[in-house]
Amino acid sequence: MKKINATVLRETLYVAVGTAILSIVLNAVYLIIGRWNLTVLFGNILGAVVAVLNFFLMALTVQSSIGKDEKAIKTRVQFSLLFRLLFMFGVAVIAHFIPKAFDLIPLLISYFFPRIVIMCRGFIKLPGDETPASDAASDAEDGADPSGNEADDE
Amino acid sequence: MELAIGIILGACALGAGMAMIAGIGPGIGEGNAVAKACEAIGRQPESKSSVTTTMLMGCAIAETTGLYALVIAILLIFVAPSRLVNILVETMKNV
Repeated sequence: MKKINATVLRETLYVAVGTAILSIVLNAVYLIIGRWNLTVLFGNILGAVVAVLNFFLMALTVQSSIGKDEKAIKTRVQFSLLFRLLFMFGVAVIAHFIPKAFDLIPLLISYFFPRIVIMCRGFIKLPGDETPASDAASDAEDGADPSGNEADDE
Repeated sequence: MELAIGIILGACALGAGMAMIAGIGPGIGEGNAVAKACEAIGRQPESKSSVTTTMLMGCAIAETTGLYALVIAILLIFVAPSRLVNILVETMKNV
């Protein structure tokens, strides 16, 4: 199995932390307006987990595309998007048919958290926001091929 | 009454299908972006990490359009019909 790139892990970690913070904010807002119950919490947790997983799967697709030809990359990314959208739709359907466990609205709101985190990410300088000079060093740490072409062992 | 409910359900399903047309654009755009980023990495392998980070951010933002469409479709399928039928029933009671 191919090793996961350090950049992918780092970005997923940032998105996961940001999503967790936004989930707390969402629950606080529901609490303030007096509509909080456990279904809101479970819906929010399910949505946040799926949103982070969606980002991670997208990052993995991008990582595995490096070194392939243009047409193959386009097809791969398009299929990846299709399956990830279907996966998110499937989770929403499950949440809809178990209303005693999951509230659909917090689940759908949670799908947008990674986007908000990434938007805020532009204003915040975090450790790991490297310059091109330090990229080579991090690649060397990953054991990546400096040519950018990774062996496909699928 | 049944006809009106049928029209509401049909329109909601049609609307959800039409909303998902917006899911085509991100797929094409994301594919192009990743292909060009890979090309850039091939030209400048030393900037692989920063190109990957920018590419991930770009892909996530491009994908949001598809997510908006998905959420609208889900709302039209699961939430809108019951609300609209309730409004219809209330209106019919008042008439």
